[in-house]
Amino acid sequence: MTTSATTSPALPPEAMLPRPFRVVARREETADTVTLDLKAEDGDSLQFTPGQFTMLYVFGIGEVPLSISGDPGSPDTLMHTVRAVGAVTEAIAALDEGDRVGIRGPYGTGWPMEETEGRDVVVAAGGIGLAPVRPVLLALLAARSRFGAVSLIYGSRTPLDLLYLEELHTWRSRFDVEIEVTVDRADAGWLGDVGVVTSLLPRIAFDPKNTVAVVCGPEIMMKVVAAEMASRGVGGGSIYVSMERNMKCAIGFCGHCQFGPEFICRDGPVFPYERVADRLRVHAL
Amino acid sequence: MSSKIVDRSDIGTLFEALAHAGYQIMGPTVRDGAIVYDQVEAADDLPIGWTDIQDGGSYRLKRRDDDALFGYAVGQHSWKEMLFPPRTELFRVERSDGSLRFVPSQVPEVSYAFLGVRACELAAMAIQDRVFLGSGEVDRTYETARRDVFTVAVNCMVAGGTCFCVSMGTGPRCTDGYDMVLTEVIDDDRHEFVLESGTRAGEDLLARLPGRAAAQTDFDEVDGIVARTASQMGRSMDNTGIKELLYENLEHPRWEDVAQRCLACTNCTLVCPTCFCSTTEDAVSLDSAIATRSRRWDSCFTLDFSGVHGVPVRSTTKERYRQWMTHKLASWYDQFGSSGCVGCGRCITWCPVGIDITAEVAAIRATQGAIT
Amino acid sequence: MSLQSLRESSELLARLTNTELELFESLSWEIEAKADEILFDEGEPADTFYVVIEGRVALEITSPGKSPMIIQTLGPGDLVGLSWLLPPHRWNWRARVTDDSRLIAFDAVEVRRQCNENRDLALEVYQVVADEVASRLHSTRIRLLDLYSRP
Repeated sequence: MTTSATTSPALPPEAMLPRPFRVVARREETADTVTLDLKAEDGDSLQFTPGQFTMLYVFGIGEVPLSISGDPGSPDTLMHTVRAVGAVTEAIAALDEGDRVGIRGPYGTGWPMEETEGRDVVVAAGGIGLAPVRPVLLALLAARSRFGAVSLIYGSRTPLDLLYLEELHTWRSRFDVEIEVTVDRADAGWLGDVGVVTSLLPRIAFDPKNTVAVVCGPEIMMKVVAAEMASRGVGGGSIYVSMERNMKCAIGFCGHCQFGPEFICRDGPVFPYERVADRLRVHAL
Repeated sequence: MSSKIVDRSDIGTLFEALAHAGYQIMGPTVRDGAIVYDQVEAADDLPIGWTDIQDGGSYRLKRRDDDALFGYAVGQHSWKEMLFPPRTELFRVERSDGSLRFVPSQVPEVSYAFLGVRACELAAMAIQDRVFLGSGEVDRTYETARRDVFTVAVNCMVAGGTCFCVSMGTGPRCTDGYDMVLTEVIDDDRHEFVLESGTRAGEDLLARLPGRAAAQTDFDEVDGIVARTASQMGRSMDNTGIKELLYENLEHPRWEDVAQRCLACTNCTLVCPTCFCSTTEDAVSLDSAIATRSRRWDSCFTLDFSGVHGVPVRSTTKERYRQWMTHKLASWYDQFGSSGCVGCGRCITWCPVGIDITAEVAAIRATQGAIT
Repeated sequence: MSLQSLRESSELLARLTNTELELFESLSWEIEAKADEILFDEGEPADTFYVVIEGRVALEITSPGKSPMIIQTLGPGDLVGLSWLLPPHRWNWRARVTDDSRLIAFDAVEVRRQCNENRDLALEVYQVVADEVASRLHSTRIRLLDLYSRP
């Protein structure tokens, strides 16, 4: 080392730099929710594990975290289901085939797929929470014989708010997975269940001592489902939830996504329920 | 490592040597009634003969009765102004025919010499090193600025009115993280600097400066100065079991009490040398052909800092103050293996209503277990 | 229907003692109902209650000019009807079978009379029904929060 200022060696890469992706398909799921299929402009697929997310950048408007909803076995297409709730997500929901965006990722801890081997798996989704768990179901169904009983309980606001309707029907017609769907309310034309999502638990078969629960939805929904599963004998270490907070960087620098000492972008978003249960009880932590 | 005694009349050679080596020297200087960090070129640029009187919500400069160059504590600036600038452009996006091209922005290529870094500030830089370089991803701007910095540290000869580095174990003696450390010795008979090197680079630079060899009496003098400063701390904080203390008192009524006083003005996060939160900003050219994304400082005291789908999670000042203090003093241990606080006292001095983090901790400790 | 089948038909009935279950069995009969059949209507006297064996029943309420709203559906093992026990013994909702179903019907009038005469029986029955009421209230409150709505 000398005393004069050295010329800089190669700069580290800019960790916030997105990759260009193109929208190749757009599907309207509900009145305010859209699914986009995206492909990388450079052709490289985005390998991910179920539960991870990307940061999607819209030119000049901003960037938001979006869970990946696609098939981890076919990463050439990046699938995102987006609900329009703010400036950036409204811009994303308005994108069309051919539009370009920036993508960074994948980020975050995924669902504990290794733990599901040989065990029963209960996937519990509420509202748009079905989007981050869709990759779990696809992975389980793709290697079905490796797992015990597989079931999905899914609660939505009304029948018009159900996501992936066609796919739900397809899964329902299989004999090796139980699909139970309910809505909070409906009019008389609805031929399915009306009730809270936990009311579906008695309908599905699982061995509480040998089950992994994958729970995703609004915080209160996750608390209620986790409590119900625990009261049925599923251990707190086998129940997993996906936490959510706004993010600016997704790489542990901006500080926004902190939940207690944990950075949801890096230490999560998936957590064992028992690790966050106490913190979920503190108001506005 | 080497040492040398350099006389006041020769201290200009330190500036010359640093400039000759290609460094842009950043150091303390008086501006707008405070001692700030800015570019300095000669000894005359330093706050010669000045000291600072600090207390909760109060900062004044006062003339000393001597011409010491470093006779004060710290001002509102910290070295994060250079290493983690308030605003940085990250990348540009060029849009043509619908396709997007992402181009990383230029990182300024300047080599800094930091002159006058205090022990608490060395600790703060080490903490930000862990944040930006040591926890997975590497922050490019920080890494580039940090890697070439030549650090000339200073052992404090006065303790500030809000200082508590002794409580935090971060000072007042500089122990590592510097290329050179100086201790100013000034009395009726002499005005000189005890310089010690901390690295090879420091040793090489020291070799170029005129001076005499340091003797044991000089080191004893340094010990004495440091000991005197350590005995004059303006504040103290009992850090025992502080992580558990705060984790177990998240519903303590004291949070409501401090929230009555706190203005959520974000001064504390602006002046804190370890605060690192940021946000992004997007701008588009008038013809919509170019967009830029920049990073700028942010504060957990803002309403929309934390939210889900646009709905704030911490919607009251109480919740945001609790977040700041428990992050700084407790969660930081779980995240980075140390306290986030270095005891510099800036948050106390620059709080418009004089909220004192050491007093808040003491109040919770005294009545721990109480709930709202 | 055998006592064992009755016991297995619902978590609620499973909590009754054998003697109590025998009484319920003697006051019960099985029915089959086709989709869209109405079990009972709003305002009617609550003289019969049911447990679903197979199929689904929707509790709904009508409103002028609008399609009826389903407030809850009940499936296998669920008790259909709570107002049969509590005064004024009139149904608040309409119960419409949505899928072809099999149910066990119970004579509510006789169960009420027996409860009036037998305090121990009354205590058991009220405990079972009270638990069900609490559980439904909890679930309804969760739905009242409208968790999935736009923030």
